[in-house]
Amino acid sequence: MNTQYAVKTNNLSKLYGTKAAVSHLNMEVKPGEIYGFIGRNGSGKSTTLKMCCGLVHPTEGEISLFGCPVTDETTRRRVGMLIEDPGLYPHMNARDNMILKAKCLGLTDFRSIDHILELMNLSDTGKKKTGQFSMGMKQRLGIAMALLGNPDLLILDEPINGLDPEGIREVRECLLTLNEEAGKTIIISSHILGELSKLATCYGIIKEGELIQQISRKKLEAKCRDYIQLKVDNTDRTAALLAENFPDLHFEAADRNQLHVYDFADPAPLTTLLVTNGIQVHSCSLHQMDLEQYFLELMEGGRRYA
Amino acid sequence: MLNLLRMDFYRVFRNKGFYVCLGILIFSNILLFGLLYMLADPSARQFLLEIGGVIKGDFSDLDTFVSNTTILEIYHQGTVGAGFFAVITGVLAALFVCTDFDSGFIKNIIAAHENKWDYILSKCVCLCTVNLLYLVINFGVMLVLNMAFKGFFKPSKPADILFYMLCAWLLISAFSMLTMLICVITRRFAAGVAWAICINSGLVTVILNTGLAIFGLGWITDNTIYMNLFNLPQVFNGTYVLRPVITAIAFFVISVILSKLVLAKKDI
Repeated sequence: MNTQYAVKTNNLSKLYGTKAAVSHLNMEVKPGEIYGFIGRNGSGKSTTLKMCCGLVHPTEGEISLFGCPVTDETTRRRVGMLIEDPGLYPHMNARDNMILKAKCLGLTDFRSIDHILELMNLSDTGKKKTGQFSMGMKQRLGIAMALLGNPDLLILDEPINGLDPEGIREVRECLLTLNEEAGKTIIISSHILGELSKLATCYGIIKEGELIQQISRKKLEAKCRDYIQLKVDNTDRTAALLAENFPDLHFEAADRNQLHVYDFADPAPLTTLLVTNGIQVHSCSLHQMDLEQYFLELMEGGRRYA
Repeated sequence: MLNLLRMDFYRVFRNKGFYVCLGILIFSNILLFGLLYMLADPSARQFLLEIGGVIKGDFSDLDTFVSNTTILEIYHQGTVGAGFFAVITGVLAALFVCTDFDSGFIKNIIAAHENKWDYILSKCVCLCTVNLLYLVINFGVMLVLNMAFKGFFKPSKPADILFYMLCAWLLISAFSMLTMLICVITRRFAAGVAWAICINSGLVTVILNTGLAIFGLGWITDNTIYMNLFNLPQVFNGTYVLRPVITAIAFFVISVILSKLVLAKKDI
């Protein structure tokens, strides 16, 4: 059994009529990763995740979970999921909903239910019906239900929707603990990119049904590294001057008139050096980019970064 | 499937709807029994007249009616034969199945159970069990009432009761399976409940029967669940009346198979 990947899709496509919701998607999620799945509304995130859970039939392509096809029921038991809204019976309380899910999974020992409810701060909800729960409580219960059966893979679609900042922090810490201590693989989609960047070890970026980039956190951090952007009249001479005067400096030419200088906090010595050596400096600015900016640029630029 | 069945039983017995529907049926049967008793018993009839009630008709007919009517016939004429029983169980089935889709819990179920038969058969067994419980409990209530009123109506033979219960159970369960099919197709409370009311009450069948009878095709509706339930014999005379059994099984099996096919075909 090939368990190199927790989730691997091969040319996964889903057509609704003639419109492709997901098109030839090749996603690879390694065991132990927290995979941040990013995309605009309607880009195909939820459809992809639903297909990974066996809720939607792919039009084309294959999905394997821990080396087994997604249709394998034993493997499916290794997956806990929260897709879109947490599916809860509104006229039942939190514990009853958990018991129902546990029975559905074939669990007979319900002691884990109390433990998970406590973990998600829901142990004091008593007889309150889930229909009367706040959005945040419902989301937390949805995550709690996804944790039932001790799954190896968690697929969470917008799990922090509707949570207050404290709730978001609690969920984040819980997921990090599950990943670091229990070694669970997590696929998480969210629009709160700042929050996602605190969790994910790998990112998949989807646009109009196509996975336009899969990138590890390290590579993304390297791409998003702060740099000084120099716009000059002659990059060759500038590069020679910088190399001569700052031997340890890391820089690269972005184009004929642009240089990116990394790990250099103060631009003043650079501009002074260039100006005194007769190089025209058109602009000198500090460029900072976070996941959100990177994502937005990628969305506008399409495959530019791929 | 057994896991889902455990889940469904847990859910149905914790659902207020189950007890409300049972209560409605029991209340209807008690009301019917009470009314018949008031009309048929001379002392009760006298009391009714004394407090201002008006009864039109020949009392001797009523006396003959009481002396010739079995408790099973009363049970049939009351809630079962007229379709009220099937409407109530149909509405319960619609609520039970549609809640899965409406609440989104179906995602939890299907994510864990690739085989769609698990879901359909679990619902099927659960609803059939509920129908059987309802039939038995309600008939039990009628028997207790009859005993409390010193055997006011003629008792039925055990063979008659068993035969009637089996046929009624199969027909009402066939109605439940049809309702489940509609719920699986539409995934809407309103559609399921409307179906249960219009079809299970016999409204559509009666309209169809009237229309078809004009062209001499009224016999077609004789093969519907409602007509078989309406005409269900309350006496087991040894010569099997197979039509209700065959009709019930045919509708039951077709509905279950179609439900599975629809569930397997449609995405969640």
